[in-house]
Amino acid sequence: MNYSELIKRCKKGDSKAQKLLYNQLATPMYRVCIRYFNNEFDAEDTLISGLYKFFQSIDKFQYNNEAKLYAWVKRIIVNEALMLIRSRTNLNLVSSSQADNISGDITPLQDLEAKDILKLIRELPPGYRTVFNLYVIEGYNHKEIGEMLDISDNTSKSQLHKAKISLQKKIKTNAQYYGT
Amino acid sequence: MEHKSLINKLESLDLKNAGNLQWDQERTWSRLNAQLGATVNKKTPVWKYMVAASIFFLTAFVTAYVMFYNTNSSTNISSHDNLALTSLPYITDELDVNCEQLVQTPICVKQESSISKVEKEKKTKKSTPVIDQARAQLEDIVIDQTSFSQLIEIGEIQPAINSIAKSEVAQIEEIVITEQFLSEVEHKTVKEIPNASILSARPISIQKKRFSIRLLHRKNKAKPHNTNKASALRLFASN
Repeated sequence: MNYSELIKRCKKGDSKAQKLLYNQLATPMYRVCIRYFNNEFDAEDTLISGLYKFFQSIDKFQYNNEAKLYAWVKRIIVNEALMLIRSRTNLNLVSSSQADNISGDITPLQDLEAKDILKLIRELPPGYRTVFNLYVIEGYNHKEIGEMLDISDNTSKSQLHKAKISLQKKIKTNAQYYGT
Repeated sequence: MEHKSLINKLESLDLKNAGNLQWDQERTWSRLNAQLGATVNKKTPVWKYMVAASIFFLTAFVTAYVMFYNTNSSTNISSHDNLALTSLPYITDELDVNCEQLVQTPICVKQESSISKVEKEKKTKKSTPVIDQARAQLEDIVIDQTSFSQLIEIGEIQPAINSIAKSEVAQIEEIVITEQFLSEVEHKTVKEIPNASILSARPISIQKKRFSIRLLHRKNKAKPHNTNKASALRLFASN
């Protein structure tokens, strides 16, 4: 059964169709969730609340293609993640006019795998991690991030810069730990 | 450059598909399905909406019908009042002769309401030719002591009759009336009426009583105050 048919049945409240669509969306959306939190519980809560909103508002959605569907669901999930982050933690997003310089080489980066990098990203402070995820992984620009987090463009840039510094330090430390 | 290198490396690592996915997908679905199911159960059945809509339209229809009926009824009363006002000359002429009959007839009750209506019209400054004519006729009413006594008798106030019978007043220059009468019929306070004072705030008699007192007040108001010619009459409307 294709997505178009699934969505039609979901609009009619078909529970089986919802389950089938969930099976398709759950894994990629869980990957999105888990990047924003350093524990699985928050990621799971975000996934549930995001998909719940998706199924509740599916009447408004018009299916064109698979990419549009994933983009729409992902946007809902990211918004849910940001809401949860804001409600639980103080992002402490302070603009910095003068960015710090990154020192040292990044050679260790080449020796790490994606899962290790992701683990380090999740260890970043919530403010850094959120902006880093939105910019580097999700692909939003600073203006969009500023609107989503209710901060200025410069603050977003500053947070991203600090996130990179912090991440690089973690990569170096991690590389030394693994003896590379 | 280092930043770009970092970003490029991160992109090349395909972070979007990385991560620990050791999670219970079925348990998550159970939680999600429970929320979705609860929402579905919370939805109000269609028949409840239909019943609510039916009640709403029925209520609206009944309200509209009652309002329409009341509008027609008030129109009838107004026309009846106008009829009573046009009958005022007849009533005035007969007042000295047989007040008892006048008051006992239904048209007298209508006259009282017409007088109230005239006063209300005066306050709202919405005079019509018919009302102005009736008001002018009322101002000309002159009533003697006998008529007053008869009116009071009709009002079933025996103490007042006794007082009038014992006195030798040619005219009545001071009227003791109730505050309720002033507020309901005259739409005035006691202080606004000369020669008036409060005896009792208790309701006295019925509409007949108000009718007689009103006429007396009109007479006094038309003539200047003269304490030498007449003594004061206090009407004790205790019951």
